Amino acid sequence: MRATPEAALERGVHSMRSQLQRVLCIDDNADILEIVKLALEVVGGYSLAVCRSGESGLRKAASWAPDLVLLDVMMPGMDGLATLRELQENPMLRDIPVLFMTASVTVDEQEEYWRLGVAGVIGKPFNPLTLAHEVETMWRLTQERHLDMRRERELALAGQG
Amino acid sequence: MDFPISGDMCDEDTDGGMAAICILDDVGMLTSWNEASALMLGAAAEVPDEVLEKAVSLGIYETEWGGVRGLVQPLRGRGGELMGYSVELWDMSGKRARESRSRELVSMVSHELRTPLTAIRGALGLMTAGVLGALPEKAHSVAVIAERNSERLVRIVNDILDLEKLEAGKITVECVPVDVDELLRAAVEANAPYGDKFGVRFNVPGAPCGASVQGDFGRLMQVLGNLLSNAAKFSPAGSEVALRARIADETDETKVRIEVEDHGRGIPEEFRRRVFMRFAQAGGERASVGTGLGLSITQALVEAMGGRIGFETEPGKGTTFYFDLERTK
Repeated sequence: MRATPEAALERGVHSMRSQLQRVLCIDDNADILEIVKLALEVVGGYSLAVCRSGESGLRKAASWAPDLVLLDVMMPGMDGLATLRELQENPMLRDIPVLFMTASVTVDEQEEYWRLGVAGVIGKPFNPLTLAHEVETMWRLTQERHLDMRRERELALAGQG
Repeated sequence: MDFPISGDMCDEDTDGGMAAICILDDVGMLTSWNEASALMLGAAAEVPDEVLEKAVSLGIYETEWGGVRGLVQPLRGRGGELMGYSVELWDMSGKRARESRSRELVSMVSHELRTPLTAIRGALGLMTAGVLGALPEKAHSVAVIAERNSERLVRIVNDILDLEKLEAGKITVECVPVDVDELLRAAVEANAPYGDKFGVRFNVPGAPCGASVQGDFGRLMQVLGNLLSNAAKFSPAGSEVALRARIADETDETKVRIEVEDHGRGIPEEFRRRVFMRFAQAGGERASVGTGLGLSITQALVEAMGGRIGFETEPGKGTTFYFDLERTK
């Protein structure tokens, strides 16, 4: 299923936590994973799981139920786009917000990513001291948009009734 | 009959080989050609009228059309009457392919550089911020040096990519009327913190200009950001940098000139010709914070908006960079 941003919102969020806790990071580069882990665990205080391929990331997402997935776009084998598609096609996983991480962000690519239904794009190189804040902000925005949509839907239903 | 053959086009610009020459009559019809031009006869038969007109008015004219580069020269009889044109042609497809390969390479290299840079900058950032525990004083100071330089490298890679995208036409500028006074105010506000770092104040003296120009607001902010940060770097602490806008010329009110004037030491004579070239830097302690690509990017952006950029400089007194844009109001 190709998702528009609206469609991505329609799906809602799997769990309405007030705090971002579990982040799953998928990147083929072990060094980057280590930096992300430190930046999010030590600076951000989140609990982090890391995977080096799209396939293992999908398995981890199913078993660990992260609040958010941080996904590298360019990976050998199953790349970020294919991994995103798999996540979106799985009813158990499709509500988890996904942030893309990429070294090449042109306006065209950004638009394409949004059209695919990601919750945000983090450019590489990122600042390790502000990464947690960026991730949290993007996650929070997604949560708020979902709440707004839910409220609107409830109001619409109440209006009909 | 003399054929004007320009011998100075080097192999790097063309694919070498024998010069392709053909002759057109006075109305531009192809009448004769040599063997080397056989593959380019399509282009030879369709020299645009304006190219022929330019060749007549200038005496000789070189330009590109339909995948070729041509040198066109009118042929005149004894009485000076126009008898036809000689056209020398170069196939540009080889050059295009090389340019495109080189752009791909730049883009790939920049991308490959960013990934390790992400790890290096990330590691150093975490270390110097002390989030992994305090470093001994000397270790901290060298880590800060390494971090600063990794950030400089990130900026260089970003600038190379920007420039490459601009030259490949991948960055689009969307030109709409932009209120000049508002633009200058916004530019001063956005760049004031940078000026503070050098003890330099940005200032918009004089009355509002009241004009609008054809431009892309975001790109114009980038242009002014580059010019203001350059001015700050080369100005003595405590000085002011003036940002002005005015009708470019009293006799031509269709253009607006925007100027950034500093009171630095001016641009040395020997450096003036290279100001807009890539990686050109006049040197000096403060200049080392730049990437050497800022003015190339600035020039490319101004030209993408149909404008023209230039500067006036006086040693010991300062430099004024300006750019002219189409006026809409």
